[in-house]
Amino acid sequence: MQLMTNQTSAGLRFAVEDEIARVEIDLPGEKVNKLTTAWMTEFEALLDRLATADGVRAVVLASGKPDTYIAGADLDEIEGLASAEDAREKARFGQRVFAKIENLGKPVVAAIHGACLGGGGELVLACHSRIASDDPATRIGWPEVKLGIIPGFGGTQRLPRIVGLQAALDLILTGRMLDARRARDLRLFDSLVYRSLLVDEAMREARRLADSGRFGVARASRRPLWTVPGFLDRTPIGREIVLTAARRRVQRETRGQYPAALTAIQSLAAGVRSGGKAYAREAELLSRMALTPESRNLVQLYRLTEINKRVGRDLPAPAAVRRIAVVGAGVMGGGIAQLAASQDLGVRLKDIQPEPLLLALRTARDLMHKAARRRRLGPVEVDNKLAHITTTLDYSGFSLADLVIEAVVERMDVKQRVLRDLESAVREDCILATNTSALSVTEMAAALGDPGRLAGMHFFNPVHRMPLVEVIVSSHTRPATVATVVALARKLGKTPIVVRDAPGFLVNRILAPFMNEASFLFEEGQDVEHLDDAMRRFGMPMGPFELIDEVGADVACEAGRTLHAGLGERMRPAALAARLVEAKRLGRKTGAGVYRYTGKRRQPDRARWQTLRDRGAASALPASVLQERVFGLMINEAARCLDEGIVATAADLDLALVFGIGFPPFRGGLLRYADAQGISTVVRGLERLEREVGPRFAPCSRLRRMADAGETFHGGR
Amino acid sequence: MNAGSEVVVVAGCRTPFVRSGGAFRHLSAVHLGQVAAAETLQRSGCDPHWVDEVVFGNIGQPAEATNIARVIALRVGIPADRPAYTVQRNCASGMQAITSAAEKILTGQARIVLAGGTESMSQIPVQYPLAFNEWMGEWMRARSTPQRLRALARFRLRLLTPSSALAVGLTDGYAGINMGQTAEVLAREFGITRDEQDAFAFDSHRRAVAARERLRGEIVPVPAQDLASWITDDQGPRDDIALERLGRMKPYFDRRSGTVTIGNSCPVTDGAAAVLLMRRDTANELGLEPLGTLRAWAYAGLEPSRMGLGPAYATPRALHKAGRRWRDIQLVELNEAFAAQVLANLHAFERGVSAPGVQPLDPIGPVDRGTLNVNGGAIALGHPVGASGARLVLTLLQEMARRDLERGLATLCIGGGQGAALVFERN
Repeated sequence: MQLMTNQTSAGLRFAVEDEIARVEIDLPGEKVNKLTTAWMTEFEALLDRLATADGVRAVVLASGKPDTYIAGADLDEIEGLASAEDAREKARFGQRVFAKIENLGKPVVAAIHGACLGGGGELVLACHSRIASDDPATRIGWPEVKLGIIPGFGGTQRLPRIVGLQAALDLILTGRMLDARRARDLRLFDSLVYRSLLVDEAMREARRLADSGRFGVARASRRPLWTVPGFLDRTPIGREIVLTAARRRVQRETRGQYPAALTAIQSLAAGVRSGGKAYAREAELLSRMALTPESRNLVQLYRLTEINKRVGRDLPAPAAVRRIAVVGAGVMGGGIAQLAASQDLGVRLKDIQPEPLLLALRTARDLMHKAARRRRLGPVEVDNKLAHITTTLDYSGFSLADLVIEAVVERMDVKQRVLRDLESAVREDCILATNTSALSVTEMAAALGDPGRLAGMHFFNPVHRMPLVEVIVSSHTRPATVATVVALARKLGKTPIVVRDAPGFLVNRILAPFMNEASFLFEEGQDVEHLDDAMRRFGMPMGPFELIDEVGADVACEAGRTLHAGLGERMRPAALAARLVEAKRLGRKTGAGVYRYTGKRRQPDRARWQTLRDRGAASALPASVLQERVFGLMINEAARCLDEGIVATAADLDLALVFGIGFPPFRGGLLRYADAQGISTVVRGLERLEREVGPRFAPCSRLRRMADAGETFHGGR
Repeated sequence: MNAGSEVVVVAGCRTPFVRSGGAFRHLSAVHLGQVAAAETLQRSGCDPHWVDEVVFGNIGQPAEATNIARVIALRVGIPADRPAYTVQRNCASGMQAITSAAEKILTGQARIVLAGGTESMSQIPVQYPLAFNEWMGEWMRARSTPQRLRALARFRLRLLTPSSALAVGLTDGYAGINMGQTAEVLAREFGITRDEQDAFAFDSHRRAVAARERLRGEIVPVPAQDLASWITDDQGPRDDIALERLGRMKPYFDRRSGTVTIGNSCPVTDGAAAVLLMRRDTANELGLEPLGTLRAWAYAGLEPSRMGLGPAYATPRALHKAGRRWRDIQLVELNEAFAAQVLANLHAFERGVSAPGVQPLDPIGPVDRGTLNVNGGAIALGHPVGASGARLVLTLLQEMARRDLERGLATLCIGGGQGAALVFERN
């Protein structure tokens, strides 16, 4: 056995054992491996050496990092791309390097443990065999579309050849990550082994391939031609059908607002039509996407989520939370209980009636079963996790809770009573959190002997899907309390944003003009569907009237009243919500609100619409005008929130709105959008609307200051 | 022994008891045990992380939960580094769990032990004969076609003849008679009439119905399988129990001349019960109020065919260990496997046993019906075999607290010919 060890400066080690070269990818000083230009250059040089080395018959590529294989290309380098030409050159470079793997003339086996994403995924696609560890940390995926670009290192060419066109479309368009087992089922991984045996097994496979002399990358889909999926994957006609359907679906779902998805389809199409050789086209298409504002915005948003991980660093260490209690069962309580149980926290769920407890248990069970079906959790795991939830009609068991979340009815007197009762039922070090969406946490805390232990922990509905949690800090709340609530939100897989206690907190306050201004426009004669459509075209997931129906006109009405009382004249509610409540048209939950509902379907109700306003229909204003009125107000309110210290940074605010109300990610965030318009433009627009429509549009002082000083919310870019 | 090292029970609770084939039939013994165990910990204010060991009684021993105590322990959040084991002493398995836990505590091997019993008699399986096992083995070993054909040729339909493991389990493996037949043996030995048995059964139901409200204190409601309703009470006790109806039932275990019927026997039932035991000084440290102290216990053996008299043989031993007399005992829970069996015990307690050919017994003392099974017994509530021992202890302690009594006894007859008796004290 000849042993030759070598290390390059950019992060490559290799040793030759028994004529098999074992290469370890290990970027110095980095937590994860990423494909920097420097590294790729050294990798290319290494491949050249290995290709001609006499004593090497095969190569194994492994990672030296604990739980990552290769996390992807370097985000800094992507952001630093100066021109389309620059992007194309980088893509061609990457393609060339990976082509050298494919054409090495010797078998190359990837030994994959941990996250293998984006460019890393493209690297292993170029290998002749992929062995992975059977471990939950092992995942493979191509999330480029989520950053507004497409795989540019040959991924769109090689992936359909290995897994078939349909699977390739699904993976690249959704950007989702596959766990090891699913990847193996798709034949993306050739086999799974125990983590500790991974490299040895890869070496053995490399030797086998070298001995047999038969190794190639091209692999037709194995599905039989006479099945529908096989026909669609393997015949030219089938593939065109699939591509057309994909194109149509993407258009419909994204309204052309995510060009990367359509471009990815183009690249995949070029690939299958050319037998996987359209590399130049792939590079060309990538170059078109790399500098689009959409891509820049999506990368920005990704950066914001990374920044958010540091929230709480300036706070004291959080207390350990192993067991929580939830007061108030039903759908919200059940959702929170299920979330906590799924993260293996003990949950004591209390209500004053036995029926809501059953509803909560059913909610939790159904959600667990759904999660099980998706992630292949065995029935035993579901039972184990559901066992974490116990129910009670009194406060027994509350002494075991490290934190209690109260989710009872939205009435101050009731919440205060519950909080007082809790204070005598829990330990001294137990944190109290309220899920209130509108009431003052400061006022609630006044009922407690120790007000510092209370914070707001505002989940959004439905709990299991909405990623945001507003952590609401009253004037009494201790930093340690905030730290613990923030840590718990993260443990539950949510994104916490720390928000000061004020009417509407952050998200509902900025959301209010979305629904309210649309209501005013309706009262001025604009059409309901035209308004909803205009907002959806902007990129919102739901139009304002659809949203009113979802949350309930009564809830919207109450929230409007609170905001008006708390924030003043500019928040005066339009009459629509009150009129809906009067007419008992509360929304989806009563079968009719603004729209009519039969089952799940939503239908217009033109006859009724006219009765909900005084003046008749007016000529339709263009969508841009409608959007300016609505989003202009939202920007104005957001600026006020920053000024009043409701939230610490523009980054937090943008992230909160993307996660809390679905503000379109491709715009990068509300304030990013404002920056893109130009603050002066925004201010001038608001001034014009103030003159033409009403004083509620008066630009706030912060916006004026920023316009005068030429500042932006996010500084730079 | 100083007071600090005494074994105390600080909390306990049980699921409702439901007849097999009823609302609990889809809930496994693990699930029932886990519900009782989890709620016991919650009500006690004892963090699962403080529990040193878990012991549970169970006779069904489901294959998918070997060492059911361990599965229950992990489900209720007791850390994986705490040991757990399952015990089997037939009908006294729930009591065996408690006395084993006490032994751990008294020998200093543990400070806090969660004990209990669970049984899903609904889910006790139906079995194939052993010959089918052998045929399956041969079939799976067959590799070539001639081997497979040979195996097929040996297949007989009778290899699939099912037998109820429950019925087999309720038959004494040594004496070859089933539990009901042992009741008939005692009925004859002590001359207990059909009417007396039916009257006792009637009384058991009446007491249980009257106690329904009180018993809610020890019960944790369990959601039905579909999570659409709660089971909050024992489902066995009948509001409409009538002596006439009891009288009309036919003897079940001896069709020709027997007196024991389904009506005056305990029904096959599903349920679980759990209690938390610890050293007294640990309870003081944790600020937990004991429900009672386990003063002493004893197991005794007798002829398998007379197993129903177990309590009569075990009680004197336990009393002796506790340094107490029978008249000191203020409240008694004696498991009602069969009315005939309970009544036989009452006779034996009062007059002793001195017939030729049977194990002798000195008289213990008269049993006051007013302090025996005051909230009804297994004839009304049911007897989930692994759980009953723990239920008797729980019910006894709760009632002692309600009446502010100082000394109580819980005792059981054990299939196979044993008896168990536990002496508890308060204050």
